[in-house]
Amino acid sequence: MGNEDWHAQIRRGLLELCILSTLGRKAGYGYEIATRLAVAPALAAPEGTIYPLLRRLKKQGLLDAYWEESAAGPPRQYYRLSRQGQARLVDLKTQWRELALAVDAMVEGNAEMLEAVR
Amino acid sequence: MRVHPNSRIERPGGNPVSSAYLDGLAKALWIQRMEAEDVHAIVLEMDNHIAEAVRAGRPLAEVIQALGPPQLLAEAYCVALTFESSVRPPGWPHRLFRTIGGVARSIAAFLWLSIGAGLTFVLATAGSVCVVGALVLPYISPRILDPTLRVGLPQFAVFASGAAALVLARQLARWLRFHARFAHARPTLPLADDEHASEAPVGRLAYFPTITPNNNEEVDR
Repeated sequence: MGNEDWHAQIRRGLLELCILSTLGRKAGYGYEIATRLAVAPALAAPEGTIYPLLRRLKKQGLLDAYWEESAAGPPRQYYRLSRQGQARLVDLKTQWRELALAVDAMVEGNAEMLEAVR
Repeated sequence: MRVHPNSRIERPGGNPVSSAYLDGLAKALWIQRMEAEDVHAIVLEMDNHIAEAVRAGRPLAEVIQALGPPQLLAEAYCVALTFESSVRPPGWPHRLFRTIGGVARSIAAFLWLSIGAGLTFVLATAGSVCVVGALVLPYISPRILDPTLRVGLPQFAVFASGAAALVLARQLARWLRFHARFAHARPTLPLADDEHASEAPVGRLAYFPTITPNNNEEVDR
């Protein structure tokens, strides 16, 4: 697996957390969400992967969606966290923090940190 | 009901390039056996994405390139939705009610489609008879058609009535064909709750993608 593939896989796994997080702060529509993610180049996902994920999250009941007018022309589909989505976000955040700590400890070879995350 | 790939989605004032891309996406989603409701919503969302990006100053070609080929995008949608359905299979009450609802809708659609088709046929037949009759009226022998009756049937009025009936039949047929295929599958536009209901879109949402019955025979694979 090349470096780019590895990065893409990691990013794909984290995309759900990032989308839920950004929508947890404020509702948004597809292009706006893609723009928010693009602020951090490491997170910038291809736009073609964001929309299917949004649709999946909506179908899973993690996001609510509604349409609103747009000055750009076609109406916007806004997404925001549902109650189920909020619970999922809390769960994902906890898992991510634990994982990040553990990986960091492992990568740095810090025995104290490894002990702390056990 | 599924949408034929040749069905075109109307986008008044839309760019031909983005329209071609969105048509390709609709076709690719159809090939992925996506429901018409999902196809409409996805295409509309992509339409908005392209419009927003172009409005933000990005070149159209770049925006479309970033989205990727329609086939790949459609596959990504298909994978995402399939994954979801395997995670949360609907329970039997949901499936039962969905089946009952589908049967009820089918019966209702069959009834009004039959009535509409019958009316269309009657209008088309009567219209054709009137138009042809009006054209041949002057040439009908007095032995076949009583001259006094002929006076009571002004040629222009008969022709106009026939033409009007034919136009009406054509419009009715188009309306029936459109609604038979797509009306029930139009995506609903949930407006969340009261917080957003006050901002409920009314104007341009009326332009929600409609599909013209342009060579859109139902294809069952």
